[in-house]
Amino acid sequence: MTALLPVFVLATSLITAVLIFILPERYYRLRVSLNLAAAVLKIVLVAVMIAGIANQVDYEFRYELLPGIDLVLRADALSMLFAGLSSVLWLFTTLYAIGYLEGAPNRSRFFGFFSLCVASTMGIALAGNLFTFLIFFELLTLSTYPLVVHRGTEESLRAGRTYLKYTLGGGAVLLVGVALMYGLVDQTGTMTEFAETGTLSALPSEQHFTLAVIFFVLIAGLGVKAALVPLHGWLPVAMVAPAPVSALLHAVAVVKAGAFGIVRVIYNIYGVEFAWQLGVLLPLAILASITIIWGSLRALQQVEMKKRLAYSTVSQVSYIALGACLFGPIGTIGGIVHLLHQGIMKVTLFFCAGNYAETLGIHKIKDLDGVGRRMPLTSIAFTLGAFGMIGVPPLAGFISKWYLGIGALDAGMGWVIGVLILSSMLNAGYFLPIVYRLWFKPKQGPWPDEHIKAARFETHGLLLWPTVATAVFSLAAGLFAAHAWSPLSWASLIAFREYLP
Amino acid sequence: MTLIMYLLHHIPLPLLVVFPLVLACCVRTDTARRRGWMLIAAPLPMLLAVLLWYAQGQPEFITEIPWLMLGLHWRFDNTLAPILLMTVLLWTVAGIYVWQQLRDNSADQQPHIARYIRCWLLTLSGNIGLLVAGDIASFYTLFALMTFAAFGLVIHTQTPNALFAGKVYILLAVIGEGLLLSGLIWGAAHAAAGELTPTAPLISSLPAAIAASANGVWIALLLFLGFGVKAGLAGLHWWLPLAHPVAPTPASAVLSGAMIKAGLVGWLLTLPLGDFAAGGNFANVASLAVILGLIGAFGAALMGVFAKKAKAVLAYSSVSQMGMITVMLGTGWLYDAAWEAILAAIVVFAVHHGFNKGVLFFGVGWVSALSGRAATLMLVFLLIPALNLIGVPFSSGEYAKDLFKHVIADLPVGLLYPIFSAGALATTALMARYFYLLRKH
Repeated sequence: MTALLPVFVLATSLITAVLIFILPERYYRLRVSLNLAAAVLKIVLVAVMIAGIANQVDYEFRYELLPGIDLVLRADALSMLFAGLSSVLWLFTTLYAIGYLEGAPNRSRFFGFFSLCVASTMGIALAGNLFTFLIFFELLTLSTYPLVVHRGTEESLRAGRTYLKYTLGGGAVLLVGVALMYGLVDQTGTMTEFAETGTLSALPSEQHFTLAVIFFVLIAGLGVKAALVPLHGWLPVAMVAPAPVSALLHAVAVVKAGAFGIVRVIYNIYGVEFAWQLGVLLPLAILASITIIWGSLRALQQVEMKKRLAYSTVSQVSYIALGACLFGPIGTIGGIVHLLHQGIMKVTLFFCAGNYAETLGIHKIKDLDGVGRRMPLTSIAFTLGAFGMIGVPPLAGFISKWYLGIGALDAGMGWVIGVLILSSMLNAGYFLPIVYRLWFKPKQGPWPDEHIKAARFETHGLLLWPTVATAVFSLAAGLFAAHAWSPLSWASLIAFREYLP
Repeated sequence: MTLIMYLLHHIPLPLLVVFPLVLACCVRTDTARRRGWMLIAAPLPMLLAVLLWYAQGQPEFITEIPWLMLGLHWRFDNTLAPILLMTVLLWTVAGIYVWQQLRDNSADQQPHIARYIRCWLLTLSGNIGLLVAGDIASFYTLFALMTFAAFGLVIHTQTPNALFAGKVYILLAVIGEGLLLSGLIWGAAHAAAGELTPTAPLISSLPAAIAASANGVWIALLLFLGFGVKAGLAGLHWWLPLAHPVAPTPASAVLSGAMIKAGLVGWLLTLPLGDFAAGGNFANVASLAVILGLIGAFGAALMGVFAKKAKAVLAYSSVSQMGMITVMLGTGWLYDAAWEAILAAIVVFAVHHGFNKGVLFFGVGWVSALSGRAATLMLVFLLIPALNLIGVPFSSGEYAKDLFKHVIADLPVGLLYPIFSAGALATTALMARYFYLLRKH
């Protein structure tokens, strides 16, 4: 049973995907029930595994494909963080997408690929070695493309092409990296297993240069999805996708998969201590810092809501890579916990952007004047998400910054604080004007295109409540950070296991 | 009495601070005009608690909630309690002022009353909360809450001037928060000493950690400047003379009387003063404090006498008075042996300035509401706080300043003694200008 649980978790979304593809378009209710049942079931399974991991139970599924190349699905503390995040957000995004796409064509195709995308994310979370990771990483690219181009307009098809160019290119580079790893370093297949404290430190020193080169090849492959500058070009373009897709792309699926991969490579392949000795962490930290600042600067220039949020993602996701480069448990906690914190905050912000667009037809920031009175709950959610991104306590973003800052000092990289603070200020620079427009500016003329009239609630319930729920999560993650069941405590557990063998 | 004892020991502090937040959630746009009482009710529980606590002879009063945020640790601090009492009282009185305004419908023309009340309650919550917060994370949380919520008070009238003042305010506030957060994180990293605990260090552990750090001077400088934005430090004070004239009168009173002290409280809590400064490690920052304080004390007076509005004069007066406090702080920082005595003087001075400046701000509103003989009588009454601020004999100002002067009379401070005494001239000039503008009105 313990061996099959990871497979079951993966199967919940995979089977759902297949069933939805088979199901004709008109079976609306059945499809909705299927989707929701699968999402809830998966949360339950993940919860069971989380409880098991906390009690040191091993969940591992292994299948030998070729001699030396196994398909491994394993649940460890880190994978549960990512799996927990994506299973919870999947439920909310599904609910949101049902409301968002009400009456739209091709919903069967959409939800099919949506489930497939989540299945790939789960696979990435549970992958137990580099090879398995690579398979699901590529599967993710293929399953998200139909979502990006879902609307089928000229613009979205163009965005889809850009997206494919970048991600397939990145996938190819990653493939080269993995092949080099298997060919040059690890013919037996034991060293590319993800293991706490890493596996490569035992290698002789003449191989260290090769290892450093492979490290950067891997990072270049993963960095496309993680939107590291200069590989971030696809992300702002891909925001033409429907709001729930953008939310999923930015919060858990694609961008996070890249960041998660970077964390895996540093912690579970190389081992953070060994990577530190190799000297590969400092260049990556510098690159991540450049990305953080560059993304924020570009976000300042955007006039479109979703574009600004997209560049904000470029900036915020690199916090994770930056945290992974800080040698020391506290920096590790900061990076890992931001994986989750950024997810819930960014999903909130994209839900809000979707609500504004769907309800009032607002896409441009300048049209947001006085929306706070018309859509108070959405605007409160947006305000919470925005302040969280800036790093104002007691929201989740503050906890990340606090740990990243202290971790940077412990690692002897005090300059990181400057990056964090500058980024906070730039975040304030591009989020506070929006908050100001929402609450303090009077309404200017009629709304651009009001689809949903204000009735009992400000918008459709399925658009509103997932937004409120994720906003509450972003508040709770910060407010109860020191609680034993908080994301922070889980991240601390991961860091403990990484540093204390 | 036993009931009171019981309550005092079993009401957790956070409830007293969260109470205004709860009220803020109950404000609705259509009924906001009838909710003026909330502004009076909000600080009352804290006021009662502080008074009771004094009546009980200042017992140790701590609330710890280890699972909330990064470990909540809140307490009544013996040294800061007078400032807390002053703050709560000032907020209550200002609340009555707003309530009166709302009841008389003199605020009828103003839109956004609901937003005003909400921002008021949020600011209030942050301001009284930061005086009892004992751990770094919640202290910074409440400080940030106060900073950002006060924006709504500054721009309330929505005139072009108010919007401009709001812009300057938020810009300086964000810069200040940035400096502050970097200083706090840096200090906390030393205080935690690499230990892996989910809880943030207590704010009382910061001075020692900063003093022990090799980079202590830089941390102290970051914190000094970060809090300096709030405290109206010369060079970072630009928002004060812009924001005060445009904010509603009661809001200016709390901004200048209570909130400006939050910066001072930040200094007192985090900077390595007293014993931690022994050895002169921080002499550079301390000298900077003295110099900036003197520039503030006299420069603000120079600019204030040319101000066109009574409330702008008061704002410059606040910068000037805070400059004097900064001089006191810097002196105490330089001469660590004298710190205890100077700390007492600073607290007395802060409380004295908070009350008197609050009344002077209310006076602007009172005088403009009255006419004829009543206005003249009011002007005469306002002489009391004005003379207090100047520090004429038998006034609270004289008492506060004498406390400090007695200390530095024995220190080798050279010209500082006469210069500090000359501060009264600066205040006198500002007060004269204040009365001139009030009468002209």
